[in-house]
Amino acid sequence: MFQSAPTDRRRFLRQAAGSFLGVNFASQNIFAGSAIAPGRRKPKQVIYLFMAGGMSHIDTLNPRPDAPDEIRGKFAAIKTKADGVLLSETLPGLAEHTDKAVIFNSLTSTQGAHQQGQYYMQTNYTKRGTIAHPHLGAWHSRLSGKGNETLPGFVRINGGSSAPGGGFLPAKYAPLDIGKPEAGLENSAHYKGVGAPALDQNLALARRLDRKFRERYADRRVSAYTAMYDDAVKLMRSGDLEAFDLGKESEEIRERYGDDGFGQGCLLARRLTERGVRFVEVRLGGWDTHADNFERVTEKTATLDRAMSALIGDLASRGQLEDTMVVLASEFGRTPKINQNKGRDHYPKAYSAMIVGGGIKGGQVYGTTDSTGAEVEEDKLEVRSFNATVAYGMGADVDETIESPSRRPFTVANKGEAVTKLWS
Amino acid sequence: MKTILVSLLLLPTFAFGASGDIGASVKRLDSAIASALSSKEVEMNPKASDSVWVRRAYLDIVGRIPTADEAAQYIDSKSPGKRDSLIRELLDSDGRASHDFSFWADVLRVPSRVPGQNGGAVMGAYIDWLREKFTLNTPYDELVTSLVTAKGYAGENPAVGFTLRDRGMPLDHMSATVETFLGTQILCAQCHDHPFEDWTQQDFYKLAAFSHGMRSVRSPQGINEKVRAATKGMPKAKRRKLSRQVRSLFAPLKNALVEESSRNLKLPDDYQYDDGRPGDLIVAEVPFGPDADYGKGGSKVDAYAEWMTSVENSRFAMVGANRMWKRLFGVGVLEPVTDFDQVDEAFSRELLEALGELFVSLEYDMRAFTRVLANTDLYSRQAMPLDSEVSYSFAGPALRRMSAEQVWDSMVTLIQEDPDSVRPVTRGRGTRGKLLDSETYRRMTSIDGEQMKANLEQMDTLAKESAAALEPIRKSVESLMEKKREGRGGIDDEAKKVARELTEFSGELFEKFATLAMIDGETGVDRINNPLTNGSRQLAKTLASNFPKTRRILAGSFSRYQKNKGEGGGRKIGKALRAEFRAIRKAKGKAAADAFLKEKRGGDAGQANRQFVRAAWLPQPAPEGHFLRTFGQSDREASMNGNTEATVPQVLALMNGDVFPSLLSAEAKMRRAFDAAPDVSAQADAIYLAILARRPDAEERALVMERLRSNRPKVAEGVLWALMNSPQFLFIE
Repeated sequence: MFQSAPTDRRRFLRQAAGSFLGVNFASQNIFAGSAIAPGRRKPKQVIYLFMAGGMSHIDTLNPRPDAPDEIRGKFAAIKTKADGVLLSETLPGLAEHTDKAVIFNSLTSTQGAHQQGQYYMQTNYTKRGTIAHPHLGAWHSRLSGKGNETLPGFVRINGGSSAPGGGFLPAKYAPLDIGKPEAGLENSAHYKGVGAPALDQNLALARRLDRKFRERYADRRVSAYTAMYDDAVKLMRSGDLEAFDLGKESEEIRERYGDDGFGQGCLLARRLTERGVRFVEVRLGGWDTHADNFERVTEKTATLDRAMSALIGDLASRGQLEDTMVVLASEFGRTPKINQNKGRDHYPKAYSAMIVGGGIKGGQVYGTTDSTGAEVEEDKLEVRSFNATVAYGMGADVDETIESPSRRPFTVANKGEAVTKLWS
Repeated sequence: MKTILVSLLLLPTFAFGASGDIGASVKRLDSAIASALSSKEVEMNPKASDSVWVRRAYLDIVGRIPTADEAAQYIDSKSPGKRDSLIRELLDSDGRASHDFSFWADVLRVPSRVPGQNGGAVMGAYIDWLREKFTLNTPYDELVTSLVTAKGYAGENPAVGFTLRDRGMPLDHMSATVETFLGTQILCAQCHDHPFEDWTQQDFYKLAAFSHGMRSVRSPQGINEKVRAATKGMPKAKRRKLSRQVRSLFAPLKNALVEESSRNLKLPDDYQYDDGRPGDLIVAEVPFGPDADYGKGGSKVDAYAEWMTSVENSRFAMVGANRMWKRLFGVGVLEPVTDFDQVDEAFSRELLEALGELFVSLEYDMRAFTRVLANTDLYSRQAMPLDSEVSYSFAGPALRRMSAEQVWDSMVTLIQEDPDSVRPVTRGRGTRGKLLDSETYRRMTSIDGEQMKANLEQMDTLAKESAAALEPIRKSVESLMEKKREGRGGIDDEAKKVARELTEFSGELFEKFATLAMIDGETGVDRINNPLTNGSRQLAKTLASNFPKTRRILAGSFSRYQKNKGEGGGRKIGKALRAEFRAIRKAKGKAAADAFLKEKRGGDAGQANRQFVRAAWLPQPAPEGHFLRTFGQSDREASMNGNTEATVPQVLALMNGDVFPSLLSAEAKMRRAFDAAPDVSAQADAIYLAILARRPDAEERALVMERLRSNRPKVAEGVLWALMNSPQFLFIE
């Protein structure tokens, strides 16, 4: 049954207790304070900004001013609010917030293809044909519980068509997908002429007409639809539904985030997390700059910098940054050496990410590369450990074991080790 | 090497068309399935009912649910051979080609647009080409060869879209190609030896060397050299100006693919293994199967395609066959279907090989292969739940949620009278760039140096003269605009007069220009971005947007104001019809006139429901937020990127979205059938047959009729709503 590597004794005890005695030790946190089990902290809300396609680390978070021309590229490094922390000149807005941020420059992944790389970054497991792993956001709702009764625990904005979702977890942990943030949650108003009592009647009829079908197939996907109807109706009647309505924000605020799907998505993320949605992913695609890297990075960073700095500023001024962690990540970096098409190719060996807020001690850089951005020199951080760090920051118990329906044990950290010293 | 070398050539081969006798093939496959099941001690499910089977066959082969009539006809038929005759009918239908397109567009990551100049036009031509190939049932090996080896100008050979889709990413393109057609997961080896398989980084680069010579080109080959020769000796400024002219002239010809045999691939700078050094030149070599021999100076990419599709390379047939098996049975005999490196993980290796052999013996005829699969005993069995693709036991086809395209196309079926023939309305002023036809291309590129020099000189003179001649018209337009700003009325006639002058002047200019540029005047010369055309075009734009009445006049010389002549336009009202329409409106009112028009148009369900066109004819993929995307249509970023998981937005779209009101609209097929039913019992039959391809059982009938008897329309509508919102609608049993 247990196909993963041997678990340590403590984990085994916990699993054994959980499965044999019906007692969930994990949630009682009896091992708090030890080095291995960091214990449960107060759950934070998470806004995870995912740069799909592979964000060029050298042209954003890890500028290499001393590298030769064919590596450094055309962007200069600029000083930022935090002493000794440099950013590329493409991120002038974020440069004002580095005092609240930790920049990770020593990430390293084993996955060099988009789908596989994104899967690894977002689930902390490599893609297998045998099982669907949950996204970090689904892990967070599962481990930390819902922060709002009627809103979903995990919302994904501009998520792409086959990004990992709830994985093997029950359907209620799967993300709610929003395609156009400015349109909010589409179709959430009752169909014209059908009031709440009529809707209830119709739903009851639908369920009766479907009974035999449901009984015929004990299928996870069939029962998922039943669960979705429950969730959808709850949501339609939620007083917090207005969280999805960006029209409630002033023009000035909306403009500050940027008049594009990503900017408005970041604003929507703020509205959702402040009402207790645990995890919101906002995706920005188009980073796959094999050709014309510099023009395209200029465009992408303009969108990113504007939205993310507006978000951080907004969260800080509303006093929410302490309880909301903002993560900036990508599936891999891009080759230090510029190719013949003035582009950069996939580069999982060394790349960068950033965490702001959620109680992290800002103004630091974790890990370094050599002067060309090609090799990690200090504090190599594997994907699993970066994700364990994110999970620790979420306030989840990173060692809590969850079993898949086929009774295989999984943990959010997947044996990665969280860099807990970044928190006070 | 994990190669399976089955000596396929030694087996007796049977070739059948879709109409030939396939009895022997079905029998052989049935026995391969039976022995695979018995070795795993799996017992087949009981037979599925006719209604379950007919719905499954329509969804799997045509990609939509059957209409109420189609379902009833099959269920009520007493003919003993009705299964195979329906399968044949479905395989021959238009709907089958639409479904094939949607399926392969997901596999091949086909988008309507890619970045770069003419990206939309190239992809548009490629999409049309693919649709045609599926309509013609082009054999699988031939199709793949055409895609992999396509060279030349996109207007001439639209299949270059396959490679141009990944412009600038040759290594990714190669990895995706071998993964799709050979089930080889070689991508990891781009950066390091494959962690689990035998692929080394060296293997990867050797394979990549085959397609490395394929290069997308900005302007047709040899043109730059000719320009250089033609402008030799001219002053620098003039030379630059003329070169710019030529470049703009050839802009619509961009997007070609050529093979350069001299282009060499080198090992990357960070190559770390002992079998080569960074910078070493790579010799093209295949990692398994027969050798790919390209001889001296031969086309490497042709050799590569020949190796890939070779009968001796048994992976090729098995990968394609397994994919098509999965389409009907829901789960591949090997999962994932792109990982043939793990062939020992197959449910049954013998069955997998049998499928490959069958596909080869049918000469890669996808229609005939599907016909055999659909005729198997296993396909006639009841479905079973699918909890894990890897441990699936094949007691019957898997219960599946429909693909996004199947859900949408089923909605189209409930709305349109003839769902497979409705086409989208294309507006006349298509903003997409246009690809010049191949004849123009050849004429333009065959120009010799002397001729080009003469033409360039003339163009230069013409540009100067026309700029001067255009001045008075420009002044007139300016003065018109001035008057408009001052709010003066009654200037429409003046605007029309100016438009006529501009149209006449430009018509002549464009003709001269077309002659010098050797372009066919019909292809929209005015859209070419060139100093000669820019002046006229700008003025036309100003007139058209400020004085809409001038558009009809401008259409005389400017193609962008011409009405679309394309097929299937919903707004095709002839002049005579329009006059009649007006007369009826005057005499009997608008409702009567609308009814008249609807009757005359026939076929489609009229203005209100024109967005309901099968997914294959919509933009690829549909825009974000579209019903198709909500139900998990692939974004085309990766192969097989669609998703069939349940989500809250899907449920909201079904409950509250605008699809349900469309089903209830007066023109919708569903609604008309419902209204035409003589009594509530017939109404119950009508909606059950339309939505679920069966008649209700006694309990359902009682429940439904009770609601239908209510005289409140909302209560009766609630029955339709409830059926659309019961998950059984979304699943393929």
